[in-house]
Amino acid sequence: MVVLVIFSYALIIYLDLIPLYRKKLWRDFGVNMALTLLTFAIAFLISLDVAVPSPVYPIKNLIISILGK
Amino acid sequence: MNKEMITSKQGVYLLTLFMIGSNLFMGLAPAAKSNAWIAALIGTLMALPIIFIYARLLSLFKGRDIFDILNLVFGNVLGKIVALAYIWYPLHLGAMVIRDLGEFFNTVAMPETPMLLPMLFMGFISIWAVMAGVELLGRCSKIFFPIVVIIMFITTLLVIPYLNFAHLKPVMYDGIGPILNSGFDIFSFPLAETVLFLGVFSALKTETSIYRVYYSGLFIFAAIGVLLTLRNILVLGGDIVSVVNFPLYVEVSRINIGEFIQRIEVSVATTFVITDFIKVSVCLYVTCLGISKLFGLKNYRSIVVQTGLLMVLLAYIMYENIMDMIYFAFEIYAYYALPFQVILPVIILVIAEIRIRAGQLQTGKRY
Repeated sequence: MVVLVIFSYALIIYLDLIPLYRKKLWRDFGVNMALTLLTFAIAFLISLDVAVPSPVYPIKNLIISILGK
Repeated sequence: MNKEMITSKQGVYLLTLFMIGSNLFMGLAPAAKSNAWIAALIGTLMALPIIFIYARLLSLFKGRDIFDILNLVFGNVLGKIVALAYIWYPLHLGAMVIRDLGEFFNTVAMPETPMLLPMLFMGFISIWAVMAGVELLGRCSKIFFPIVVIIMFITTLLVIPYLNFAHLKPVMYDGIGPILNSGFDIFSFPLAETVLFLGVFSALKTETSIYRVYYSGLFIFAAIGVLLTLRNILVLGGDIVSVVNFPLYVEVSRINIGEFIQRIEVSVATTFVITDFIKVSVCLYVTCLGISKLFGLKNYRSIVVQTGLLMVLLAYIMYENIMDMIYFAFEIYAYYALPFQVILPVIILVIAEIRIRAGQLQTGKRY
């Protein structure tokens, strides 16, 4: 699984990120780079069977605390 | 300048498919049991004023999407802060819809396939469609809408022998309270989610009336939704509808005519996938548009792949199991979505109207 994730991300970076670098679109490159790092971190953790904390539970707790259910 | 354009007909179809997406298959308002069809009608009534607000915003700022509107109305800094809300909301909504699909395949259609796989493929198709642009989404919906309607029509014809009108009988047995509650659920789950079309309909051709597009979509969906909810109740009965996770699928799987026409529930799964695709694509499009406007990128296409992957991964880590999903979708979501669907648009509209009256805002051409 880990190898698969790294391989597919190499492919995505080659196809998606490198052309932006070549075209010198620095803003696009920066944002894309940040998003790539974020998704790669999540995908890597999932492939290692680490339980990634879900952002939904804080929302749920907040709303329950407001509504008082 | 080659701006992408969708016609008003495509807009209506896109809107209808977006509203059908995913929630019709999870059952509209299961808490109302045999009165769900009344709840669907009430939800539509509740949606009339809020849809007017969306359409009014779009007609005030013609040819601009929601992020431009925020920028104009709130100014540069505050506009960007509010824009964050409209980036998070479609991202989360798209993840929820992808997760619906994953749970559907995992629990009913293909139990032995890992859940990530259908979700990942749905993500890929949506990324592809959004890369191609909103024009392609319009054309897709023009092709898909008749397919969905024909499948619904044929299955309706085939369930006629199974209809049992006694299932409707205790009308409003528990009083009006639960029905109003379910009506609010329907209002927030499919209907007021059309707030996302504030980001899509800037591509609508200019000579058509935005009110007409919005209300036609709403009424087509209301007709389909009430009909299918009624059908679910008539075939399965209110109690089963409120327990089963995917009532439409269960209902159609009961069809067995002459030992020959049976197991046609795959057709329902097809419509589920089609409408989910449209919904995820619209959510992904709005998210990418928002991020690109927030950071001032040249083109939203340069971040579509990563945003789509983020959506799929978010969908994967979002809930632990299907009960979590059902609980969030039916108990929490209506209140969680209220700020995005009602409160913020109302504030935006009020400030925009005040600033336009005061002559501080140039809105361009108006009706």
